[in-house]
Amino acid sequence: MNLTACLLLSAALFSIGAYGLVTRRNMIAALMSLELMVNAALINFIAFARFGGTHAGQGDAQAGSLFALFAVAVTAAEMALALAIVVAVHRQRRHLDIRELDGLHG
Amino acid sequence: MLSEYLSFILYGFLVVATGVGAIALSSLLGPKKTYSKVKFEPYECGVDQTENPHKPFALKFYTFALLFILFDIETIFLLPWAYGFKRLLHTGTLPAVLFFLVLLGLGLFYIIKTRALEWE
Amino acid sequence: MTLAEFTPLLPDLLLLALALAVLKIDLWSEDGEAGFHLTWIGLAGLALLLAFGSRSDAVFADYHITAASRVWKLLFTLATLATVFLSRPYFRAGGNARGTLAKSGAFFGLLLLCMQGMFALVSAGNLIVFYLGLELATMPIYALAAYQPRDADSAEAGSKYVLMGGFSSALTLFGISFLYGATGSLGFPALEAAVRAAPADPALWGGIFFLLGGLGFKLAMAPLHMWAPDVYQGAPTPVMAFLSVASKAAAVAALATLFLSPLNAVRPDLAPCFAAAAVLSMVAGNLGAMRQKDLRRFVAYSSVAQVGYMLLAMLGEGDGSRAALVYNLVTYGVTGFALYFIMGVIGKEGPETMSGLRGLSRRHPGLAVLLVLCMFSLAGVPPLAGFLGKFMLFSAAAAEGHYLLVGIAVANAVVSFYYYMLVVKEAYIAPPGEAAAIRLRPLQIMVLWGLGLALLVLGVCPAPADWLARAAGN
Repeated sequence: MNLTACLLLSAALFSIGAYGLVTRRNMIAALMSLELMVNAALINFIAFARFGGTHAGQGDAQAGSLFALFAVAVTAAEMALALAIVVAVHRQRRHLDIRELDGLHG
Repeated sequence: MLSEYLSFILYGFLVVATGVGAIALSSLLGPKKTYSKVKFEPYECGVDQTENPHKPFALKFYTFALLFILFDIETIFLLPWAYGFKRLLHTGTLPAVLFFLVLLGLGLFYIIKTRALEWE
Repeated sequence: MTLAEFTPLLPDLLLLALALAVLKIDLWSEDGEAGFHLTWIGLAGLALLLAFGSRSDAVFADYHITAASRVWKLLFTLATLATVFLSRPYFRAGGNARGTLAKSGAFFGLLLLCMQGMFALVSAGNLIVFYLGLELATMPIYALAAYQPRDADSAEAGSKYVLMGGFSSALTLFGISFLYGATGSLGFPALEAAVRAAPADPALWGGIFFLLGGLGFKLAMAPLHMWAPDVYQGAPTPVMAFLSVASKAAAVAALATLFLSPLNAVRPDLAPCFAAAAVLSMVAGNLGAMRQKDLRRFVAYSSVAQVGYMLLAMLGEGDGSRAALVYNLVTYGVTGFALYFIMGVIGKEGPETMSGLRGLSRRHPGLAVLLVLCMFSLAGVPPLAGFLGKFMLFSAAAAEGHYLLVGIAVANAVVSFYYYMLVVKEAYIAPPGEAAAIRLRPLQIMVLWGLGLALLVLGVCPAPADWLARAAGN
């Protein structure tokens, strides 16, 4: 296990997430894809904190782990809010298909 | 100079390739979607459907679930502090943690008062 | 630490207390009046405190209180205060044709929490604080965009904003992770030193591009502006006002905080990037605005174009750029709120669309004149507020030798004059329907005069905004 492996893993996760966000029709699935993208960033933070970054010299290892903690909490809040909005959409429209959300147009 | 960037260009290429590859593979290997009305009709051993399988799902407790996630996740701020409690006790972090707990408590108070935790 | 050392932090702490108090006021007061009064009195006090209170700078670990951050905070406070006043009729029964909003405490509380995030954003001395501020400044707006009760459009706006916003924060987070990897630290001073030492690190550049993508979404900078028209149209009008003034100011502040200080060393290399985004935003905004029938979508596209002009400042030198940005945000804010005030008035009976403006010159001549002033100011016609703002931006970019870019911007400003005049045409020339004359209450007439005078005064005598801008510069 080294830095490169972690970065490759996170790159794969990030692109799978981005792919899912673009292609999935269901809003919940899109949110799950979003969560994958965030987790890719979290893996990056932990990997850089564990192995040191690409820079020369001593880095601040604690900062990365700390950031990951904060990011987890923030993302949880974001997802809770997103799910509440999803419920609101479902109450109005009885479906969660992103492509059918076209009530707003010029 | 170029070799430095090579790694990152490769990395960027990989990021794009994974996305494009996933689309290409899924369209190559995945089942072809044919949309027809018959296909989306529910099938029950040839018998006509008696009721809609997509039953309305009680959302009474969804706020409860959402709030649970939030308070559950907030413990990650307490865990590191609890882990180093003895060492951290005399470093002046106690007021900060108490402040955080008071804020959480105010949130809980608001939730209870707005009856978000009552299922009925 | 003694209590006296916390004095510079007082505005931020007071805001937190105010937000928590306002959030909870729904529990005791049902009619919503108490929430409104507590919020505006609190915000007015906060504005006075920021303008005339403690001037001393202070550093609390990674939270920096500086003169520049105080100016940004004052700007956010005033924009929120204007939003609070604007939203008053929307909570009254019959105040708006679209329906009445409920639970003013939650609404104002979310606005104040959002403001708290903006405060953290401009005081950040560390990427953690920066990220937390950015998220706190965005997340309440997800909820606010979906605030209109039993309204499918509002829920749709909320869902689109939360998906796009979530995507942009994932990009931001991914970008920050690479910045951390490249420099090994999250504090701004260490970041600045590392960027100066190794400005060509590929990981650093990857980080910067992701970060720029994430911030570009929040700023609604083309080509990442697609969410803006839908969200602006679906969200309740006060929320749209907040999005287009306060939230935009926060995104600009975020961009300025990062790229005019810790990442300043790489900004010259990013110039083509900012220039391309500026041109794209101007063109996309102006072309989009031309064919809109809904006033809120029109505002969205017009604000995308304004972002394009503001991006020009990122090409200029640090202090002058910051001053031009702040000045432009002030004039844009005043102009915007004048327009939203008119929208609120016509929204009482009809829809907030172009056709709702029809015959405004006969229904209320004063409002029509204010509309003309707004449109002239947005287009940048000389004696009005918008002109000086644009002039400062253009000269900031021209001082660095970006003449071609300034030429494109001027051409865009001229083109934009066309569609701003379309709005005026609707109010003056289009045949009026049978809509009755509008009667304003005395307070509304005072607001109308105040906004109109402000538009003129800020254009003729820039002293007040200039003072703000200069304070932000140093």
